[in-house]
Amino acid sequence: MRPSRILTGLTQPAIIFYALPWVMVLLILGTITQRYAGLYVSEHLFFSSFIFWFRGVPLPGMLSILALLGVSLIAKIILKSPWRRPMIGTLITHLGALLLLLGGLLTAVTSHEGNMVLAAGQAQNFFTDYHQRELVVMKNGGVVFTCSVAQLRKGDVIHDAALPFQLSLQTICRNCDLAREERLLKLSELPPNKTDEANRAGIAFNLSDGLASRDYTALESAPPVEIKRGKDRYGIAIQKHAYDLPFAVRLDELREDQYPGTDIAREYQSLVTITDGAVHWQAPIRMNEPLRYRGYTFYQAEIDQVGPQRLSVLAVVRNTGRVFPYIAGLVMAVGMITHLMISRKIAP
Amino acid sequence: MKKIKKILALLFCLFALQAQAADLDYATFRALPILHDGRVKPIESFARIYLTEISGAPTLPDMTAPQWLAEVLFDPAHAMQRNIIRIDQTPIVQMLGLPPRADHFYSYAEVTKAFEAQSAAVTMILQKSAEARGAVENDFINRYAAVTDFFQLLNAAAIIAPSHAAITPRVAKTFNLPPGDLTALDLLPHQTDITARLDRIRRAKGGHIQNYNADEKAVAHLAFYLTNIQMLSDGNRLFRVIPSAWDNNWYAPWELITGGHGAPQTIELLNDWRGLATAYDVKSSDAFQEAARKIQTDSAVQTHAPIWKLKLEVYYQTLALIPWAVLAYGLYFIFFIIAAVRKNKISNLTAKVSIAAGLFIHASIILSRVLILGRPPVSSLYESLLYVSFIVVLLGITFRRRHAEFLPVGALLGAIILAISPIYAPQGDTMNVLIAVLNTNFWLATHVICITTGYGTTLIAGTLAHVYLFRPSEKMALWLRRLALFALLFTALGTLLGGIWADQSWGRFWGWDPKENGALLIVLWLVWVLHGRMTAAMNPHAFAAWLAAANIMVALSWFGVNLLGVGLHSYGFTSAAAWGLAAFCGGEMILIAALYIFASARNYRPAHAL
Repeated sequence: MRPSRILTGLTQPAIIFYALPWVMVLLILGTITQRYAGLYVSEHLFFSSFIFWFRGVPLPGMLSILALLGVSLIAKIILKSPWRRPMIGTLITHLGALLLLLGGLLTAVTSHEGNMVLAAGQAQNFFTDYHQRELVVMKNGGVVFTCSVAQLRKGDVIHDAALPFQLSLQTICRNCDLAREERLLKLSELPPNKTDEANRAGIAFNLSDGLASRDYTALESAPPVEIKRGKDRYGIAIQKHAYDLPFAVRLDELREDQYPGTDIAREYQSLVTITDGAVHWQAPIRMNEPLRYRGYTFYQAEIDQVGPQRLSVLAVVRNTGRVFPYIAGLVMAVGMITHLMISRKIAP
Repeated sequence: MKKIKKILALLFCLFALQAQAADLDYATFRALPILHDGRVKPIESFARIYLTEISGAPTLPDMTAPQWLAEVLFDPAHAMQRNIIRIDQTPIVQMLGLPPRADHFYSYAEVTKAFEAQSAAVTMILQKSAEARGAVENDFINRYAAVTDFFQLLNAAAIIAPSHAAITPRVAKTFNLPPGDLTALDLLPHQTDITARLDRIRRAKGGHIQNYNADEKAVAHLAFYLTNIQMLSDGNRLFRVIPSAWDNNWYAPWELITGGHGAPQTIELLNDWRGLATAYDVKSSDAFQEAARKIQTDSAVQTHAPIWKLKLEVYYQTLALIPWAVLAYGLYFIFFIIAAVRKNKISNLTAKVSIAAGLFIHASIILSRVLILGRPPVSSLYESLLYVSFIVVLLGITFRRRHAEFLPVGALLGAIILAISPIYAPQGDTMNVLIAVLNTNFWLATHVICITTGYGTTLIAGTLAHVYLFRPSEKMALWLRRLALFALLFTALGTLLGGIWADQSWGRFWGWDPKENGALLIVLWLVWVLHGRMTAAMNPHAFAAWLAAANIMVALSWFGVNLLGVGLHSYGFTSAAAWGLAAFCGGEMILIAALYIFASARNYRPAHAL
C-alpha cells in the first residue's frame, strides 16, 4: 500500500467511530476490575497496555487505541480538515483533543511519582516510587548494584563486576511474608493486595562465590541480608526505587485542623523548609495547595500514625506534561463554544 | 458490656420522674444552637437526626422532634418508657426475647432490659469484626448504636435538671444548701461532705436504709443520686450547647464542669439552660419560651453566630419542601397534557403557575442549603440529585420557546430525580461537613457544578431523543444534535476540570478512578454519537436511539460507580440501589429498542440533512 493511501486511510472518520466503542469497553472492564483486583492490576491490564490478552487472544490495549486515535487526528488535521469558517470550531476542538493526547504521552514517558514520609524535624533529599521495587546490594553502606524486581525471573543468575558473589534467584513473589518451615524462615507467597503499595515483595536466592553457597531471603521493609566478605560488609535488600531530589525538604511542623468537637479533619498542613545549596526558606503544603519547586510538586497526601509518632505523607510528582491538560481544556472549550455559536447562526 | 450496665443504671435513677410530656411553646427552643458533627446547627436538625436514627422517621405521630428531645432531656423517666426504638428485623426481636409487635416499636426500658438479659449474645456480636458480620448483625450494631446515643441524650441534661430530691430542712442546713428544687449542679460542690456523712451513718447504723431516720435517708438519697449522675454523665459529649469562651469548641454541660472549661460567660449559659429545664419541669410555656430566648441571645453574643441561619435551617427542616416541588412539577406536566389536548386557557395558566411555583420552591431549597452550609450546592450524591433536577427544569424553561417538548420533558425529569433524592439521604438530610480534600469552594463551584450540569444536559438530550423516536421532527432532530453538543461541552469541561483539581490536590491529572472513568464514559459516548451522526455512519433514528442510551451512561456514571465501592470519589455506596439501577438500565434498553423499531417502521425520513 502506498504511504499516501495509508495517510488518507488514517483520516477516515470510521477510525474514531469503531475505536471509541472499544475504548469504552476497556474503560468499563478496567473500572469493574478495580473492585476485585485493585487499581494497579487493572491499570496494567487495560489502561497502560498496548495489548490486552483475552484467553490467549491479543486484543488492542488502551495505549494502542489512543496512539491510533492520535495519529488519525494528526493526519486528519493536516490532510483533511477543511479550513473553512463553519468547521473552525470542530478544528479547534480536535486540536485540543490532540494536545490532550500529546500531554498524556509526555506524562506517560517522562513523569515520576512517589512519596516522601517525614516526621517532624526530619529532612530528606529523595522520594520513593509507589510501585517500582528494586533489588539493591550495598557495600559498606553505599549502593553498588540495583536491578528492578519486575525484570527478574525465577532461575536468573545475577553476576556483576561490583559483586564478589553471584545470586541465583529461587523464588520471586509480589506479596509475601516469612513463614517458619523446619526451623528455617522461608518465603510464603500471599495473594496480592488490591493496593499495590501494601504488597511486600520478596526474593529467595542462593548466594555463591566459589567457596561457599548458601540460601538467603530478602523481604521488602525488612532489614537487609548481611553478608561479610573479608573486610567488607554487604547488605542485600528489596526497596522501592528512590529518586534523588536536587534539594532537601525538612518537615518543621505538621498541623491538622479538625472540625470542632469531631475527629473529622478540616485541613492538613505541613510546614516544610526547602534547602537548596546555601539557600533555604520555609513554605506550607496544604490540602489542595501544593508546593512547586524546580519541576517537582509536593502535595499533602495524608497523615500516618506510627505508634505515638505522626508522619506527614507528601506525594511528590515530576511531570513535564502537566501543563497540557490545562491548555487542552481551554482549547477544547473554545472549540466547542465556537462550534455551537457557528452552528446556531447557520442553522435554519 | 460496661455500656449496657451503665444504660441499665439509668433505669434506677428515678428522681426525675414526673408528669406527662408538656405542651409548651417550642418556637425558640427548636432554633437554639448546638455543635454537632463539626457544624453549629439548630436543635431542630439535631433532634431530627437522632429521632430518625432511633425511630426511623424525623417526627413522631404525636410529637415533633424538638418536643421529643425536650422530653428526653428534661423528663427522661417518661422518655425511656415511650415506644420509639424501631427494630424491624424479626431475628433481632427474637434474639433479644422482645414481644413481636406489628409496628416494630419498643421502649428504651424494654430494649436495655433485653440487652442485659441476652448480654452473652449481645457481646458476641459486638466483638465480631465488620467483615465477619452478616446483614442482621450489622442491623443489630446499628440498633445498638442508636440505643447508646439515646442513652447519652437521656443523660445529657441530668446535671441541670431539677433533682426532685426530698431534702429535709436539717440536711439543707447541715450542708448549707440553697432553697428550692436543686439540681446536680447545686449539689456537686457538696458531694464530698455528703459522702463523708453517709460513711459515718453507715458505720453507725449499717447499710440498710430502713434503719435510717428521715434526715439520714435524705443524705443516703443525695449521695446515691450524685454518684449515679456522675456515672451516667461521664463521657457525655453529645449535647454540645455551651460555646467555649476561648476557642471555637462547644461543650456538653457535664463536660464543661468536669473538664474545667468554665468561664463567667459559659456559666451564665449553663444557668440559662438550667432555667429552661426548670421551666419544662413546672410546665410553664412562658417561662420556657423566655428561657429559650435568653439562651439564644447569650449564645449569639458569645459566638457571633447569626440567628437567621439557624432559623432558616429550622424552616428548611420543618417545611420539607421537596415533595411540594415534586407535586408542582407533576401538576405542570398533567396540566400541560390537558392544555395540549383540550386547548383550554385555564389548564395552560395552571400549568404555568405550577412550573413557576415548582421552580421557585426548588430554587429556595438549593439557595437555603448554600446559605446554611456556606458552600456551593453540590458536595454529595444527595445534593447532586437536588441540583441536577433543578438544572433539567431550568434548561426546559430556558429553551421552552424553541421547542414545545422541552419544558414538559424537563419538568418530568426534574420531578422524577427530585422524587428519588430522599433515597440517597438514608439517615435523613444531615447536612454534614466535608472531609479535607473536598473542603474547597473553588473546585466544588467549578468542576462539580460543571459536571452535574453536564449530567442534566445529557439527561435532557437523552429523554428528548425518546420523544423524537416516538414523534420524529426535523426541528427536534436539529435540537438533539445541538443538545448533545451542549452536553458534551459541559461533561468534557467538567471532566477536564476534575482532572485539573486532581492535579492540584493529588498530583495527577488522571488516575483511572472509577468516578473519573464514569465521567469519561459519558464524554466518549457523546463524542461517539456525535461523530456517528456527523459522518453519517448513523441515520437520524439511530442517532436518536444511541443518544437516548446516554441516559444509561449517566446513570452508570452517577450511581453505578458508587456501587463498586472503590476509588476516591465513592461518596454514597449503597448496595440496595444496585437493583434499582439494573432495572432502570434494562428498562431503558427495552424502551429504546422498542421506540427505535417503532420509529423505523413508520419510515419517517427527515428532509433536512443533519
